[in-house]
Amino acid sequence: MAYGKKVMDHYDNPRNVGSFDAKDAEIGTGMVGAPACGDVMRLQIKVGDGGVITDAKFKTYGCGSAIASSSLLTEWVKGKTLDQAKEIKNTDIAEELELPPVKVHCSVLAEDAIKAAIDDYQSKQ
Amino acid sequence: MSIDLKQSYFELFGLPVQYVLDDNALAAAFRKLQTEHHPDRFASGTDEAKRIAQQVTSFINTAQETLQSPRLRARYLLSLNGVDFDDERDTTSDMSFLMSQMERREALEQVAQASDPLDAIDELSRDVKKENFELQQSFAEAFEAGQFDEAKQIVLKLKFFERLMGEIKQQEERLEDDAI
Repeated sequence: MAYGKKVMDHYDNPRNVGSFDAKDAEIGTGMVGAPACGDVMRLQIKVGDGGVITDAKFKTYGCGSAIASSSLLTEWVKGKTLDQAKEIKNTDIAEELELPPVKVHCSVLAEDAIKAAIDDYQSKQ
Repeated sequence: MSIDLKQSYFELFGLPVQYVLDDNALAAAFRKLQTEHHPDRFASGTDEAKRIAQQVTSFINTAQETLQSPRLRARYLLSLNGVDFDDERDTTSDMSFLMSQMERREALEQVAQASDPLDAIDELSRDVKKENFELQQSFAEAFEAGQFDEAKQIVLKLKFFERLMGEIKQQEERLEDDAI
């Protein structure tokens, strides 16, 4: 399967790979899985004063598009408020990465992951 | 000679409609049908006969692949009972399950650094296969009890195991190549 240039860039140089301590109160963890392909994605946000996301990390076991979607998302959410981060749509990710239709579900997974991370953070406050 | 392409895969092979499978019976019935319907037998027939023979062969092959795979067989049984699967929308949100899948994948990434990588991957592989087998058993129980929602969630989980076992196998092959 041929990947686009932007997907390859994130695949070769994924941004913000890693993890935070999920038990930390300022950390929100989103864990999602795609049963269509068996991909697993973990996306974590660190939230500072005023509900601004100061840092984000991810770990994805999946195809190039899933890795690129989560990598891109960690870049996008930094500096955003939780409300702004919630507004990110999978279609924005799919468009930016020029994902083919069969890979759009990877961007859906990333959107679900950020929403789950925000929910997790908010449930801890 | 043609066959009914609308019958279920279980009927095709004369097997009971259930999750527990008699592998030998499936293999024998498959071989018999394969021989009877081999496209070569219709090579001198009309285009119509050849076309039908190809359809039949492909039906028999799909049926065999579906029933042979524990995951696809489970999925097929549910679909016979009106349970729909939507690959674009179905999600798995069982956090502890996903967490354990993540940990298994992290463990797989680290086997190469273990003091005895082949030993480490053997252990991981054993654990994962055991869990996968237990999951299949819980599918059979949920399915027989008519708990189709629960059964569907299990089928979705089996895909993560299929993927994980595939990756373990690839890593095993790499390690074995390195060991030579």
